[in-house]
Amino acid sequence: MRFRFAHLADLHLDTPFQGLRANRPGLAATLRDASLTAWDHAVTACLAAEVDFVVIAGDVYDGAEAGVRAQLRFRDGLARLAAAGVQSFVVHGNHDPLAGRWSAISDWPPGVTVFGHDEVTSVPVVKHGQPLALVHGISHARPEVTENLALRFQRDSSFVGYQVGLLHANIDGRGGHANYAPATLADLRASGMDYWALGHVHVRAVLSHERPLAIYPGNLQARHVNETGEKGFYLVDVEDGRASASFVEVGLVRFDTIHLDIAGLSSVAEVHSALTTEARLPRGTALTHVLRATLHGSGPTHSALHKAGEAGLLEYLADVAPAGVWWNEVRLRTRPELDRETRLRAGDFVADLLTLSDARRPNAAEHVATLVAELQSHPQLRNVADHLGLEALIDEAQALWDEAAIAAFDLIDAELAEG
Amino acid sequence: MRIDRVVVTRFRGLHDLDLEFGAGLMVLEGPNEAGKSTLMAFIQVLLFPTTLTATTRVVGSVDISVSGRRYRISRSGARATQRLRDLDTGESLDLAHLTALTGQLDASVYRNVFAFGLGELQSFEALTDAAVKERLYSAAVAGAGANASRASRALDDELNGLLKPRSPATTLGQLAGELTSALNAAHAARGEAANYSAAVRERDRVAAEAEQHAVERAAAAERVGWFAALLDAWPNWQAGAEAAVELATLEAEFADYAEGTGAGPAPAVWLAHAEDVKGLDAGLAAFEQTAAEVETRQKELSQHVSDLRAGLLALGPHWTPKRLADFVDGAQWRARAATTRAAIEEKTAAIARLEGAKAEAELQVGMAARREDAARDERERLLREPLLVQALARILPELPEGDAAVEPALARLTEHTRERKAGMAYVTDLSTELAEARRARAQANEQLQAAAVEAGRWQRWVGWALVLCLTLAAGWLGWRSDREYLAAATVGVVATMLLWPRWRRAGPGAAALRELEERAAGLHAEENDLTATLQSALAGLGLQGDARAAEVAAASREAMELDAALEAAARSGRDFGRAARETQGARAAFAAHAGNATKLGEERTAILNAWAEWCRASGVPDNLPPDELPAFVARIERLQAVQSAFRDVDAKLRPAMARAEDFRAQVGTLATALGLRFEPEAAAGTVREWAARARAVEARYLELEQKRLDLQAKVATALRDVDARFGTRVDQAREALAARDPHGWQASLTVEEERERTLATEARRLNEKTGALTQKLEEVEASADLATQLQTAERVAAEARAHVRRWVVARLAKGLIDDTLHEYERTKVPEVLRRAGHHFGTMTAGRYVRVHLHEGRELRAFTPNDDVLTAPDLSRGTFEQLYLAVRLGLIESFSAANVALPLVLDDVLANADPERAARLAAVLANLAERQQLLFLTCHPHTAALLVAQVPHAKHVVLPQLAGATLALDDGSS
Repeated sequence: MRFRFAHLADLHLDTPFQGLRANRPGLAATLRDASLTAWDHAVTACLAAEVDFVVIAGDVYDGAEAGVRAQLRFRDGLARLAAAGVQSFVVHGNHDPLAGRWSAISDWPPGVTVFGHDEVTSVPVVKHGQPLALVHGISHARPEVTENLALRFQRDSSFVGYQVGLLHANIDGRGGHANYAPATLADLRASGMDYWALGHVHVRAVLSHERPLAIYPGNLQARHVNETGEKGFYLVDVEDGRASASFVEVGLVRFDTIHLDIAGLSSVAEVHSALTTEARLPRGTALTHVLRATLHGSGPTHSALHKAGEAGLLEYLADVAPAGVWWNEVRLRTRPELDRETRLRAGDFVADLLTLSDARRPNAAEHVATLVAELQSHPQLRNVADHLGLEALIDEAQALWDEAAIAAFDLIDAELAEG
Repeated sequence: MRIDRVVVTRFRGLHDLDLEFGAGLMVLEGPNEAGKSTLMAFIQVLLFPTTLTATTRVVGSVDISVSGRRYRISRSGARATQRLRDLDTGESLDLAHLTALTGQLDASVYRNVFAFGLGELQSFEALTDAAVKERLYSAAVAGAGANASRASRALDDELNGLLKPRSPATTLGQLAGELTSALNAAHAARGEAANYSAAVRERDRVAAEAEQHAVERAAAAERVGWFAALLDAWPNWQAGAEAAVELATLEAEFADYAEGTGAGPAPAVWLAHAEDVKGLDAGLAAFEQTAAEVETRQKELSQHVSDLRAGLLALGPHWTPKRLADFVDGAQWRARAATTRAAIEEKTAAIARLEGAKAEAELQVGMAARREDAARDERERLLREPLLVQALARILPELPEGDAAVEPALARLTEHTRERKAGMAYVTDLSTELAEARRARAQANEQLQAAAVEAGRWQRWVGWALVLCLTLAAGWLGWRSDREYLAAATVGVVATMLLWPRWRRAGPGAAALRELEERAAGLHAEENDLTATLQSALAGLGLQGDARAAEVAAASREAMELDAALEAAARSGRDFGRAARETQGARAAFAAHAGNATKLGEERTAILNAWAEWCRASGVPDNLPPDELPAFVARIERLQAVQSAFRDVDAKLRPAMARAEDFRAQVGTLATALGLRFEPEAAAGTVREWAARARAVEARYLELEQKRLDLQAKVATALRDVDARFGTRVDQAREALAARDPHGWQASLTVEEERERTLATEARRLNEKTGALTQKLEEVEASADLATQLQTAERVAAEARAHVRRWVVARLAKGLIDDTLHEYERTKVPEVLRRAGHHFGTMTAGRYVRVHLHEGRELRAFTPNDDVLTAPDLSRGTFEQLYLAVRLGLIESFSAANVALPLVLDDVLANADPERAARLAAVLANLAERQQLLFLTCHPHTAALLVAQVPHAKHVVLPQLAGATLALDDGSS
């Protein structure tokens, strides 16, 4: 018996991109609709691949942000699948829990199963009167579910065939993600499922290759500058109980960060050239690439780069960017070509500066915290303080301190050079 | 550290320079472009190799002494490594050692501290008070370039640009504002989106209400329809009911009528027999016609009878009706009559003709006799012609007598004449031939002569040629003497004459010549023949053989005349003969005619007799001429026609009479059926009367029937109308109609109509509202507002975060700089200023004794009396002095704290007047005692001054060097 299904997760329809600074109208429109278009493309790809059913593992949209457009688009996609006779199975996650959320959808298309949050329910996939597989699923009830929902899944012994577990969860406490519905790989294995269709982690990963095949397909479309690489979903082919999964890229907008060490580069032009060359490298099938450059290391171009400034570099790169490539940000984290030891011993003002910087570095967090407090109470920033990532700055205190030291040094060194 | 020696093998423009340096002050004098700066650059490059670029070609060495030890730093070539050698031990050392030797100083630090150029003193005039202060301050702060405070201020500016307490026009202020707007907009959009479900419900509710109203309205409309239909149906219904009543009345009337009044047959009876009556009535016209016809025919019949009777009588007794009827010979009789008549006529005509011919013939006889006589006379005259008589006499022995003998004589004569004529002709021909032959012969002779001449000519030439030839031949052969010539010629001539005829004959034309001769001979013979023949012919004619043509012609003429006379005589003879015959013929004709006429008369008579006989037999009046017979026959035939007409009429009369009888019988039958009396004679009138009555009855019946139908129709219409209007509810409708309440219905109708209107208005309003709500929902569904606003908010937030980060970094950096500066001022600057004060005092000859750092980083100088000199009060010269003093103070202080490297001063005394310069020089001299001091100048007097001031000063004059001089290497070339 052969069949094929698609495993999608973390659609996050109509949620905004985070970390994008550049205000470009053309890009804005593309980005705004990217998540919806990615969903449409995914549905089209599923139909083209003639899947027998589709499982969607949560975070279809951000509950609080879910606009009518997003919800209706989701429903339309499911309707298209239903029209082709493809069953859909949906669980909700922490971002789109079932409870306490208004829904613009009054009725789902036929063949769509939205699992409830009370208990794990099982729904068979029937095609031409023959049962292909059994899908078990449960949705998050609230935004912060801390229970290990995986424990509630048990293989149904009365059903002979492929059984799929559908769950939005954090397996093995993966960092960088809120630890909702935590579970372990062992829990997954213990359930007796043949396949675990997981969601929540945006970086796709295959947790387990043998039975059960457990996969995070990652989100369909990157929505943060840090979510780099290709995005899409998985097609799983099952033949006589053996599964093989293949990744399908559908993300329209792709983020990538280019790290460039300025050590070997002797002029700003070379830096430009290196970055633009990087920009032209082919990257997957996405139509729009949003790039971020992080320049690090130390080299002779350090002061020239800082003189041009991040804004100046960004402007240049944006001007020469090829079609479909947008430069979002340039971060200068370079250091001057400084023989620190020598300079410290020089006994001049710069040496004093460096000495003081080193002396105070351990307390960087305090200094930063003071500044953060100042910002939080600033009359103009008070209202939006929560959106400024001020707490995160405190975590970065050491890096900030180093930057400050370099900035100070650069300023004085520049003055020195001019003199 | 001290520089002992510098060897520049090659560096930029410098070549092969070897300088020994002094321990203290070393004055390097040289004009501009002499390479002073290049030299300094060289030293710096060797001391601080990190400043080298790959392309600088450096070949040379610098010898230094540090803490009593001597070292040599050497380099050969750009890429070659630097080598450090301990000159005392000869040991090669690691370059890291060099760094130690140079006090771990950075090249830039060295530059900023130990290198001091005129440039630092420049443009004093351009400096603002603040800039002056800044300059002075910066002189005191080592390693901070122009001014660390400037850096601090730059950061201040940046920070203020990012954020200021009371000004929202800062970057972050604006971003915060934008973010707030975006968040609010997103919130609004979200709120709108959140209302979606409620809006959907509201729309559905309104739609349902509209639906409800529509339903009620439909019901009201239906009731309106009901009452309207009742009202519409009412007239017809009413009419139907009335009609039903009328119908009943009519039925009674009908029955009554049918029964009748008792007088005469009842209408029902009339109706029953109406068809018969009408049939008879229809046949009435025919009957009347028939009756008339009968009458007419009867009249005709009697007429015919009387005609017939009269006609027969007129024809004769022979003629009976039967005979008349049987008579079929009309054509035959006519034909006979015609034939007879024709025959008679013919005969008569023939007779007449004959008589005419007879008369004509008589005439002819007369004429012919006369002609005969004339012809006879003519003939006799001609016979008496003299010529003829003579001719006759010539051939006949005696003249013929009598007509019988005359003819043959004439015939003979004629023959004779003819012969003669022929002979004449022959002679003529012969003459002609003879003439011809003569001519031919003459011609031939001519030709012959010509040819002979020709031949002769030729032969003459040939002959003479021969002679000549012979002569020549003779000559050639040796006959030279005249005699011999003559002999030869003679021989030739003789030969020629002898052979002449032969030549003639044998020559080319000889043959032809012979021929012509022959011909000529032939012709001559011929001519002779002809002549002989002619002679004989002439003889035959009785003419002389040599008769001439005239004679011949005369003879011929005579012959012709005779011929003519003979001809005339013969002709007249014929004429006479003919005339005689004619006369005879005419007489015969006359006699024939007369005989025929008689015969014909007899024949005619016979025909007439036969006719008369036949007439008697046939019943025709026997004196009827044949040409009148057709008329008679016509009368017969006319009568026959009458007879047949009589028969026709009779034949027609009988059926007509039968028909009339039949009709009358029918009428009689019907009369019985109707119970009425009937007079056959008055049948027509009776029938008419009856027909009228029957029609009247029928009409009445029809009228009543029509009425009934109308009424029935009305009733049916009313029922149908109700059926049509009310369909399935027809029973209900009938019930309602039976109630007969049109006013009630009208009232109800009005009420329902009003209700319907109200409901319609309301439904419309609700529909519009539904539409508006639906549109709004669609807008919300399609709206990307929320997403857009959220994205905008996110973008602004990201931007703000980046700037916040920058702000934090800038604040930290500024803090570092400010604190460092503060510390620096606190710890190091006092020492610098102390020394500076000392130097300043020396420079100002004790006018100012102290230099102090005031608030706001302002340097002030103080007099012994504590009078203060602030920066704005400085003159240029004083500024320079103060600056210099502070600078020197810094250098000293730094050297004391760290390491003392050779100080390089580049023409710093250039702007000082001699007195000041001297004082400055004193300061420098002082310094030189503790530290190597390299003074570069292009002014000889400055050099002299310094040398004078400083004992043991080394003075080197650098020659002008070709090649570019570059400023002191600052590592960026």
